[in-house]
Amino acid sequence: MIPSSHKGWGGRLLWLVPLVPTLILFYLPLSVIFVEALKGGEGPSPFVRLFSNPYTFRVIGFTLWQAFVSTVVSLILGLPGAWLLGRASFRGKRLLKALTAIPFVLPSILVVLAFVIFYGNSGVLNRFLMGVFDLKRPPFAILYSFSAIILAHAFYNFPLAARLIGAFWERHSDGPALAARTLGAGPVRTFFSVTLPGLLPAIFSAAGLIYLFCFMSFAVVLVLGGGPRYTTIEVEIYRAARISMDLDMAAALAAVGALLTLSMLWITVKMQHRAAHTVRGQAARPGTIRLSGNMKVLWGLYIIMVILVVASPLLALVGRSFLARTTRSGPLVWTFKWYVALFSETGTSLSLTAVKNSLIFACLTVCASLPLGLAAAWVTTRSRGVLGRLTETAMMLPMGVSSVVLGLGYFKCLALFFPDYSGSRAAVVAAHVVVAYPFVLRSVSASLKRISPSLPLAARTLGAGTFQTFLTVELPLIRSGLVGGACFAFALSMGEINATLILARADTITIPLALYRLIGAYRFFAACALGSLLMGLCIACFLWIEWMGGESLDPERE
Amino acid sequence: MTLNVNDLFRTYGDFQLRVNLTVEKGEFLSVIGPSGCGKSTLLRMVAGLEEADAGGIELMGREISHEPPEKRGIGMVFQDYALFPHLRVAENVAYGLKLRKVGKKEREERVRDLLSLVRLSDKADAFPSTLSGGEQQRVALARAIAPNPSVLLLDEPLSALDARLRIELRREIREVHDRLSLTTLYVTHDQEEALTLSDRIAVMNHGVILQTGTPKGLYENPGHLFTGTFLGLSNTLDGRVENGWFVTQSGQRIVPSSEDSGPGTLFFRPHHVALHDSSATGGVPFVVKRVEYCGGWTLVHVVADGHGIVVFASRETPWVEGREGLLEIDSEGALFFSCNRSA
Repeated sequence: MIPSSHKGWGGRLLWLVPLVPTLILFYLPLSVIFVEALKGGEGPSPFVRLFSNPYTFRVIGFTLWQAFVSTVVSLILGLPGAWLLGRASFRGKRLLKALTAIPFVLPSILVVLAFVIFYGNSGVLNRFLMGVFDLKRPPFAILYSFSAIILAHAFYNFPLAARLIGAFWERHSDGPALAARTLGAGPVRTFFSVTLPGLLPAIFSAAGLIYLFCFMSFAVVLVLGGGPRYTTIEVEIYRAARISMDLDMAAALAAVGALLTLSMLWITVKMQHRAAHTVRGQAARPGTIRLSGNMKVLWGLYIIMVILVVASPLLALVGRSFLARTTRSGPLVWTFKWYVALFSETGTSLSLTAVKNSLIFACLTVCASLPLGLAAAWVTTRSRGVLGRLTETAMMLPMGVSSVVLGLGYFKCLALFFPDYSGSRAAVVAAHVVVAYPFVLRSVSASLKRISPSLPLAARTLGAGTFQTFLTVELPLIRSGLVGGACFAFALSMGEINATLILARADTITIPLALYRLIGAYRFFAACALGSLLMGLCIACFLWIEWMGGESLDPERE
Repeated sequence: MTLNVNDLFRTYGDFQLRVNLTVEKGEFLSVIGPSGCGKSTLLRMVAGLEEADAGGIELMGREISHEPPEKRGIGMVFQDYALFPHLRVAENVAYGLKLRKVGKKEREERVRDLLSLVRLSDKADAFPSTLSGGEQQRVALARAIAPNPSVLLLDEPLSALDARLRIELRREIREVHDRLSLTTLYVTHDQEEALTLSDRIAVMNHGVILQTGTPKGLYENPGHLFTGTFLGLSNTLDGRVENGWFVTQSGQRIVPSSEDSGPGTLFFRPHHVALHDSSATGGVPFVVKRVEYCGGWTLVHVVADGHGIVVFASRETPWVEGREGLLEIDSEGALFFSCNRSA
């Protein structure tokens, strides 16, 4: 580490570059929410009103419960996958590992649409089963229920569980397990008495992350939950803010939600540190196990199940976008008309505006979150002082606050500071930046941390100043992390619906918002065409990230 | 003088480092000591990669301790080579020249010369990851000396290499030093490297330099018990000087001594011990514990008066495990470190 007195002013003040925008873009709206929640308008404080209503407790209780069930289901489905990714060796492993990252870049509204198309009462699955077994009613009526929420959350998160725990398993020494075998324990006993306890840090850490995601889930619950019975804090904030127009109530709920998610983030980070610590102690890299015989069949079935659950809703969505009915109840025919309609003035000009807006917002998000995330990553990996650590925490906190809460904060800030401004474009872009830059930060940090600490020092001894060292040594070496982070930011902005929906005004219709409206109007064919387009863009981003090394998709590298 | 380190001081918790050191122009000086003694910290402070709490560093008469590393005019070779993985070998070597705005033609010429000096002319366009450890080390050396530094710093540069390569490379490093008359400060924990490479050695322990001297001087006449035991194989016996003799704690007379009476430690090298048959007269009785065949020579481990002693013997030694005899220590080669004097 270069002494601070040799860093120059630029080096010493660099932490202001990420910190100041974060203060304005994240901490200001968050503080506005807390102030409003405490103060409110006339009458009793919003908090008092909130907690005197038993419905509030039902919403909070349901939020905690659905996140818990989703997490357990994701872990159970993900654990076999973790073994496959961590310990087995087979052909196509790389591909499988890459596939587990796909849900990560898929916008939630897209998954919602795919679920409606595939699992809906007149969806692909039910029609297929009714046709084959000659049934009168759909056998798999799960839509708009608790199961639909859990299934969608599992869709999102079991690949994540497999990926996170698998990465830990891969580096986890198998010495203790082998020792248990030589001491007389059978494979089952060994698994439960030695292997599983060894994996617990990773399991807890993954569970914490998944719980947080499910707790903050919005579009899935909003559409697939289908009503007040299955409402979470996030959805309730949206209802209070945009439907019943009770902004004080929304602020109070948002404050409660933010406090809960921030404490969860804190616990998760603690657990991640412990997991990282456990791995560090074990140097030996265990061998992998070659799949053979019956094992192959068993695991083949698991992989087919995974592909069915993950891929078929997405394929159904794409398939549907090329179909149309000749008459209202007529047979289906192949067509491109939905795609043509997307971009024709006479058709849904809504879609055209949405695509244009989404692309503009995504580009702006990339342009802003890239320098922000880069500066934050540089500061947090290169300075060990109290300031550096404080900056790091301040920069990572946005991950622990849902974008619905963030959107509400902007909504209030717009009304407070710009009462005459009728649009919301700037606020939407700002919200997207806050959502995206922590991912840029992670992606760039991962590549910065892999640079040997002596490389920048060598450059310094050869005559390069701080900035020259950054330009000639560090920047070229983190290129893949930067490009990966940029793609990630682009995909996140393209798919963002939470904050966008709360902030939506006439000038801010985006692809996810258009999808939401099309689903609400039961215009599924057009929705599928627009959805396929969005999916194509997101998967292109994903492929680019994978091609650049995929490090931004590995949350365990934090 | 070229490099002058004056009362350089630094504390880390309980650890204190306080160093005075001078490296003359063109001299090859090694700092040697066990890990954690502060030798790498000293080097990094000279390079400007770590800050001192107090004291000064003078290079060619210029005070540099408050200069950033890029302004100090030093060259450094890192333990892990620190080659820029995104640059080719020639670009790595040219890096420092480019920053000094050396013209393209002159730069290319200099890179060519340096690569031929370290025998890597054919690897100019290779990326570092495709080179062997030894080749990477040579690129690191060429890169460090390219901008003509006033002093070259090497931080355990050979520690990551295997034994044979280490011997080969240390000779090369010395040859490059001699050819360019570089002032060199070399840090290592390997006593053999220090002995074979250096004009002078500084022995460091617990954050201070105990002693500096030529390899031969320090090896044959260490002023400190620590220096003696750290450099090369040695034997020590605890005891006292009594009536002109060194006697062990159990009362066994070992060698005559002209030192003042009092407790202390007797120090001697394995080649200062002669082993005799039991039929000889005088000497200390011993029994052979173990014989180690080392190729060119043999190490005989014996026990005498309850103490383990190691002795050099020829390849064809008659000594075998369990055999008894009488040993004699050359009083010229044995040094007595009084408890009141030695560290």
